[in-house]
Amino acid sequence: MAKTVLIVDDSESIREVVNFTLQNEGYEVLVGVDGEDALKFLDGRTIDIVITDLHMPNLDGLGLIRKIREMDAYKHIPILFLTTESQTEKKMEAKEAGATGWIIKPFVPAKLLSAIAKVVR
Amino acid sequence: MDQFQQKFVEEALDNVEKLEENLFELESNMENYDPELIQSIFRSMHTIKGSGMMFGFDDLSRFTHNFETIYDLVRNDKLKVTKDIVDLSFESLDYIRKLLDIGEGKLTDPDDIAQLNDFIGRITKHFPEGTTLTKGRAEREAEEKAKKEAEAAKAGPKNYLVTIEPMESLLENGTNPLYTVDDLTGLGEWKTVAFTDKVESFNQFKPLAMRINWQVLLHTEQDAVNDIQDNFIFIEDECKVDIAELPSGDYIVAGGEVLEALLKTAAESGKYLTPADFEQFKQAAPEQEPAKEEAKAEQPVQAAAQKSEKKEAGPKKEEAKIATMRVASSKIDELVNAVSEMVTMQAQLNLMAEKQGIPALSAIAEQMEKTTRALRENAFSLSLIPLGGELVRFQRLVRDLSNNLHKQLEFIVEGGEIELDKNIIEHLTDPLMHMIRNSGDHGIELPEERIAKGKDPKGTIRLKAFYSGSSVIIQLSDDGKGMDPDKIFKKAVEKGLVDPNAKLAKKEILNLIFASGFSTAEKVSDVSGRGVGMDVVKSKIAEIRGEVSIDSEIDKGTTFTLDLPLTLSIIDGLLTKVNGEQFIFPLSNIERILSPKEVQFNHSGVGNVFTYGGEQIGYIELNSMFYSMDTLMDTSKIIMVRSGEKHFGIVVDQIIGEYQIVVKPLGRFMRKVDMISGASVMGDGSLSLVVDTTRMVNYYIQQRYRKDVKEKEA
Amino acid sequence: MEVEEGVSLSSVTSFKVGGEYFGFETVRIRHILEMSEPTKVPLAKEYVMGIINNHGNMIPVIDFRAMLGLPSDDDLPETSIVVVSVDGTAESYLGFKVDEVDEVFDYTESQYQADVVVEVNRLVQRSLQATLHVGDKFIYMINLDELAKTVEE
Repeated sequence: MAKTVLIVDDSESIREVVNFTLQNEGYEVLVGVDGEDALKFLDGRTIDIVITDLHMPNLDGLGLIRKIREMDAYKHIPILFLTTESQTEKKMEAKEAGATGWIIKPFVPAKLLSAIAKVVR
Repeated sequence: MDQFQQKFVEEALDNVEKLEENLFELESNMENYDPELIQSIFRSMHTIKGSGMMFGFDDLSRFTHNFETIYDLVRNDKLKVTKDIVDLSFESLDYIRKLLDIGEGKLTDPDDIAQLNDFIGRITKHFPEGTTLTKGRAEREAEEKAKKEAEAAKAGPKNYLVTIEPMESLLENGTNPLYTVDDLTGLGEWKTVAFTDKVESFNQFKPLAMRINWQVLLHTEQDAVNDIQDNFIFIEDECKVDIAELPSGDYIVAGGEVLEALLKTAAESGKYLTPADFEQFKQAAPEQEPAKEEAKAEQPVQAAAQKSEKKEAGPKKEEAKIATMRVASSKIDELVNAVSEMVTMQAQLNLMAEKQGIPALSAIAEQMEKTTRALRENAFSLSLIPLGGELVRFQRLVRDLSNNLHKQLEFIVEGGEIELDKNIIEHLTDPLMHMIRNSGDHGIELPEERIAKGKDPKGTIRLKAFYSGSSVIIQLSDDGKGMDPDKIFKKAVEKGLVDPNAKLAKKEILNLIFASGFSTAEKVSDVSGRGVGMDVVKSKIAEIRGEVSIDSEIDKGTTFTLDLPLTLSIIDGLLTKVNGEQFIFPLSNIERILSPKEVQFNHSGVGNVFTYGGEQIGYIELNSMFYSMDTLMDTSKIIMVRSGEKHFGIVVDQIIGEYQIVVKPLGRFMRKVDMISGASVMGDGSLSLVVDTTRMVNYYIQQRYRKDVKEKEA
Repeated sequence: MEVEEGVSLSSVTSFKVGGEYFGFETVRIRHILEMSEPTKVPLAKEYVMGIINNHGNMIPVIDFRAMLGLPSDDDLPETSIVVVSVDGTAESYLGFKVDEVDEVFDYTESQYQADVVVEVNRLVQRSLQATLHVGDKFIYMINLDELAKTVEE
């Protein structure tokens, strides 16, 4: 069965390119425009992995990760966050919040897929 | 540029616009701003930077990175917001716009690159000491090259012993260490040993506590330390990983009893293998089939992993609703065009149904008409966008004007939520920019001048939008020095636009500024007077079937009022005939329809006047105006329209009925005939002309005026 | 029309009005339509016959005979409307009623002469910029931008 990926980013262009890449690879993709928006998908359905940006309005990436980790159904699903190289502190913070790993921007589709493959099969 | 890049540019421009709004807010309160404002600024920049990198806009990203750093510093109280910073920020936004404009996002001209570096230099100058600066492009490229060369140097087959000791909490954050081990073994030939001695007995089993350690023997074709490390990138903090290089040789590939025994002992004793254990393989081991059996220890872990992942998921809820979506405006244009065609065809259908006299057909035509109407309304609401979207540009203009002219200008907006057809808004921006520029440049006085007049040194430019019937009114006013009718009249006489002896009302004099040839670039200032005059503004507004009027009081200020239609292309109209030709009057312009019997024609005065309801009303005979023919008054009809404050009658031969029509513009070569605003294809394929009643009345009045002058002269 | 050495010369569509041949650059031409009666627009210039509808575009039609100051003639089967776009947009479509569309051809430099010998109505005269000598025909090249200016004024 196709794996379901929830992608959360306030940048439409990033959402589109990620969505496009993942759908091409046969993933089911859910799209949230920010943390708050993403929560609506976390209603008990099967989500195999969450990929989220960190800087977002309403509910940011860290907040979203913490919220997901509080939910029984999603307590242990892999969560990758998108980040730029410079943010080592952010990386630590996100890991502490419960993130599984990260994808460094900019990324080519292959890098995105390999990062996902590290945590979901 | 591919579609993603294009999307990125669109999105980045949206972000720039938002940034601009935020900067205005910040500027208005530099001392005591809302921290969320800085967050929002930072976020927008961050999105531009991050997405820019994704889509190959490297120079943009580098620039934005530095720009973003400013707000990161501000956010962390390491830098104070000053006017300098805000100015620099506005300038940066313009520069970002420029960088977004270069095709593939990379600067190539050395001068441009130098300019970019200079600009970045100006930004980094604001950084407090000790802030890490990012490396330039050349530096980064050099580093990467060096790194690659170093890697290439470490060629040749290698053997490794990798020891992995996960922390108990490893599974909690969604990590599956099996994948890591799996990836590791993907790097070359391998053997693994699992140390399960710490796994609890079955009844104490905690599926989420990670109690298994591994050792992996790896044979790779070249140096793989980096690759091995990369595998642990997500879990380097939750795992103790040790990578040891083993003596070279193909003993891992070839296996052999000695190796197998070694591994078995390690697994059973729970004692880790060490590099020393492999010294014995320095000589080639006997060849044997490589055994690739699965490590038994994997099974419980896999079970645990599955258990944690496969919680019963509830049934799929209904698909999440997307509240808004972005659509290419060309698609909306296409839709509106198609709907417009449909409205025309609907008229044909109605005509056909009427002719055939088949009740069922008529019923369908009627139903269809309702649906068409609904569709039309819907399609039009799609092309309506709020005026507010353009306001930031105006605000920016006023800000730049203040700085350039050393005036204090405030820009106030009321009714930014008012929606207009996007085609109207597109046509509106330039004229409004021009008028705002004029207000700032010529209207509002210098602060000292204002103080001398007892005014607030700060001048106000106010834009107010509101609905009025089927139109939208936009008023642009300033509290500046106003216009002097005497001066305008004098200038108009000089330019030969008006008879020096003409007796004109104040409003008529003010309207002279719209005459072509009135405003010339007499004083070419930096800001306005670039040879475009108010006549251009008027004709631009006219293109969208709008009207502009002016009101001004000396030392109090000037107000321009734009009267605009809500939408351009479809109107409800009254079809009439004059001399056998079809003319359509927009219903919105019509006050009432009179029969000549209801009025008293007044033949004593100058021009055509009748009395109706005690009011003296001028009227136009279209037969006479268009075809120099007489009208058979008895059978004619009078369409009463309003022109400004006054009523006016327009006499036509015959009234056919009300139609919903699609107005098609007549194009640039018919613009002189401005009282005809377009044409419409009727149900039978014939064309009818759409009348702009205000222009018709104005034309008539002008004609009369000229005639009067001629008669007096004769 | 400027012609320089080495510049490839472009295609021309010629047409006949009142016994003389005139030409437009072929790239400007959008349609050649059969004559149909335009809807009159009151108060337009006398040589503007009115507008026609072509696929939802309202196109003003110029009576080229009238513009040349020639008396009107009965429409014949050959009578056509040549629709050009002045600036490439539909907004600048302009139709010319002509007696007959002649031919489409590429001219060579040797056929081109930068002066015009014929004398016509001054409305059109200033738009005539060159003469093409093709076989025994003289074709007067019309500078469409100039002509458009005249119509627009």
